[in-house]
Amino acid sequence: VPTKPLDLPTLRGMADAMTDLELSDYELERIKPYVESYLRGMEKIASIDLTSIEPESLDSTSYLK
Amino acid sequence: MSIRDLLTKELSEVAPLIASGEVSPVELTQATLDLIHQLNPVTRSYTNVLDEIAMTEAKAAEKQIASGAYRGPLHGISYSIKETLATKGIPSTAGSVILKDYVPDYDSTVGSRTREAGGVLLGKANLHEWASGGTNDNPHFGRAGNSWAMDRIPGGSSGGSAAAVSLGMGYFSYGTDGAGSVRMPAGFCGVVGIKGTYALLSRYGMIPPVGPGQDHGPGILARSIRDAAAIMNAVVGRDTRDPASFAYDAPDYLAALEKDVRGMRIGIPSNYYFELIDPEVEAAVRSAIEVLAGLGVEFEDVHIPYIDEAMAVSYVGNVSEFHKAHLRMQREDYGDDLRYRFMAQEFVLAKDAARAAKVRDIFKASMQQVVSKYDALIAPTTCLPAYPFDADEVQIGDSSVDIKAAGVASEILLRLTRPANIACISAVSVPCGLTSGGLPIGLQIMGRPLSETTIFALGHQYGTATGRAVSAVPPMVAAELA
Repeated sequence: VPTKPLDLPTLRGMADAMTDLELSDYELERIKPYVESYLRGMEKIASIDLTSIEPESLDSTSYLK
Repeated sequence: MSIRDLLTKELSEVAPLIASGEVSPVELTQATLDLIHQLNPVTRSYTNVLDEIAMTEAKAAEKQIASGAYRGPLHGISYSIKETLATKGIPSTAGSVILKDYVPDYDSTVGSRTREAGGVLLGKANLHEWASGGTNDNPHFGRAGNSWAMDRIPGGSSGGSAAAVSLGMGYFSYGTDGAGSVRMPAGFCGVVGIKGTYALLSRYGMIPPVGPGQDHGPGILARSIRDAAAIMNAVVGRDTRDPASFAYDAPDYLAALEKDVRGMRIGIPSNYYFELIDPEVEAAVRSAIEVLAGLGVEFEDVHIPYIDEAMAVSYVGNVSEFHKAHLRMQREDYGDDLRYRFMAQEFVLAKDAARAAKVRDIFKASMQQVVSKYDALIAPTTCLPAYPFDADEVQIGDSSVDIKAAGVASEILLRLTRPANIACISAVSVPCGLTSGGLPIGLQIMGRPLSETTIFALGHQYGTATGRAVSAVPPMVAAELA
């Protein structure tokens, strides 16, 4: 459950700002759970300090060398 | 033994009979086609059965073998290919009406190499639309049923492939696995499913093409690890048409099956993998761990860092330009679940997509570091057995899950397989028994990149020790062939 559920006007505002797709209210209602899931996911990773991870520790292709 | 008795055997058992001339590829292929025409109206495992092509290839194989030009264990053996892999001169739709008239003028690399090895192509296998989901409730080609219970999902996206192999409608099938689309249906249908290391199997011929760094490629569904190893021997190798393909001195996968597993160290995840799990699935996997321990394998609990975080953003920013373009032109041609899931990606901020990708990279590196300390990791393939297509709610342990809610089915079904794709490691699902209701359970063995020989040996020797080295025959086909 998102901490702050999206309402249709908010979602409409996001759509106007972010996509050239023309979306009906029906479509926005269907899209809403996926957008809420995206926002929940971002909330889940908000506390990870990405600057604390050394780039060299992210090399995951050493098996090819 | 009649020719129909051979339909549910391993290709490894049938191939020597073909090589010696005791079994005719033409008769075997005809018997397989007959079975497909009997079962497929109900199972819908195939979208397109290619009788003429199959018989032409079978006749050619028979002639070649009779003249002494035997090519190896795939010669004269029949198989299917999922709709997301290109087949020259044959419709390749990706399970979508958008590509209903698309006929490629080229073969996928796994397809062309199998043809060179003498394989007999039976047809194209059903799938979840665009290989982007786990139920195989395809709005255009119909539901492909589970081989053990037709009213249940076969898993996906390669559900038609898994059910076909399970039901004796071809000895193996090529699926594609970008989040578990080979292993998960393999687990649900009681067959073996292989996801090789990133780009070990050429991704040339995937529809639509996959981007760099995206661990989504062909995988193998077969009746045994032994069969999968024989197929790997035929199709692994560098392919310059896949930019991610790499030079690699591939081992003999068949020869490695008996390598000593005593003293191997396996990690059992202490977080995530067993947190949301059906009790019967967990019991089967814990029992498999005991069997492997009896073979001398050593186990240790291991924590997997960043897995919850990576899975929470696994979809963020993850939709191809192909779909972005088509959503603008013909969104009505997408099924409801994909249409809205894909359109929601329009709402993702670029900075969020970048942050999500970074977190996935952190998990990928962490997971590779974890597997590098072990010979393998072991876990269930899925957190529950196959459920009915029409279920609104499923029970997983103490949790009731609203499985029809937007995005939930994919999240639940791919929960335990997707991490291996994000981490670009090798993984296999092998059968590890049935629930009390008679539904297959899958055991997932994950290994370091390019450690296929190790996970194959573990899977094969577990299967041999338990009498599960070859997939069990579902009641539906056993009755049909009796």
